Amino acid sequence: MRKVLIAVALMLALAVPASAQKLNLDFPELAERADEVVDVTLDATMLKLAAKFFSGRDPDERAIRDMINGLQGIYVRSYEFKSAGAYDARLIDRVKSQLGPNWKPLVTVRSRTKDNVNIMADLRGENIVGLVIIAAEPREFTVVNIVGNIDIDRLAQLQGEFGIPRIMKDKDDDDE
Amino acid sequence: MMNKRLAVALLFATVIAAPLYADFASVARAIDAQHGVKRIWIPFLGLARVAVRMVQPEGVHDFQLVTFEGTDKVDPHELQRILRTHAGAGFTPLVQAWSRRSNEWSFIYARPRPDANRLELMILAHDDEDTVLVRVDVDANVVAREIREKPRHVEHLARR
Repeated sequence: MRKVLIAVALMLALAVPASAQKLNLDFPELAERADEVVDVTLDATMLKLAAKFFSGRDPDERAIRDMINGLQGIYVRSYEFKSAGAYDARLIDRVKSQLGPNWKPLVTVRSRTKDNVNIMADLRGENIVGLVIIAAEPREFTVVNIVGNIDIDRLAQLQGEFGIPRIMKDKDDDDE
Repeated sequence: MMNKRLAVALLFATVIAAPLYADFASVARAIDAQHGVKRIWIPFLGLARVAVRMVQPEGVHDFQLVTFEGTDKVDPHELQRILRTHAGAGFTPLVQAWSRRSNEWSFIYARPRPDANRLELMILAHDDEDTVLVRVDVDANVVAREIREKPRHVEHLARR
């Protein structure tokens, strides 16, 4: 009987897919205080629609389309304030506190006066099934949550799309 | 007599060609019910709608539009709540953006159409001067392009 139970438990564990984690990105108190707020919600249905309209001929667009096809959602919350220090810097910890044990930091940039960037990934084996980008500037706070299978090599191509801020440096920027 | 028949036929065609949407009407009614708010009548809007349904400019297949005045005293959060609760089944928030600096508020809800290449957008744009409610049935590629390039300004699509 125990063997059957263990077998059933094992089967259930294997059958449950590595579901990506959607975070709670609603900060009503921040929205109240912010001068400008942008909130973009692209769920799986919307992303499927959007993916159709990236050209299959252009290699850059094809890469974005392929990436979008594996996603379940893109959620962007961006808050801009009139003056520096208008929001509590502990907000970053509030976002991080929602992350489960699978989440690992990919990029951490710390500055007292400029941008603070945290990129964390939900790692399941070798796969990334979720990503959170927290960009905290003195007058701006942006959180992006990408849910679904993410190809890290193609991730840079999503910046600047759908309200996702440009965080990673392009090669062209280095050349200038 | 001929003119009268033509007018009746045109009116009939307008009514047949331009179906009413309960979701849109429900949102419009709820805004209209706010204290001090008055709906502005726009002449020939019905005909414009028929023309849009025939010509389909910029991938727009149909639209409905209502403009309100006297909304400067209405809390924009209340407008946001109205759209959230009255937009109807299938509508989900796509872009919500506002600026206290310019006092411009835009709430955009979307619902995929059954043919999967089109979207229905319910857009509520509010500023100091007026409040505009638009329902637009549009090719999804037009929306995708606007959101990709300038998510903050996607409401301009409806304003156009």
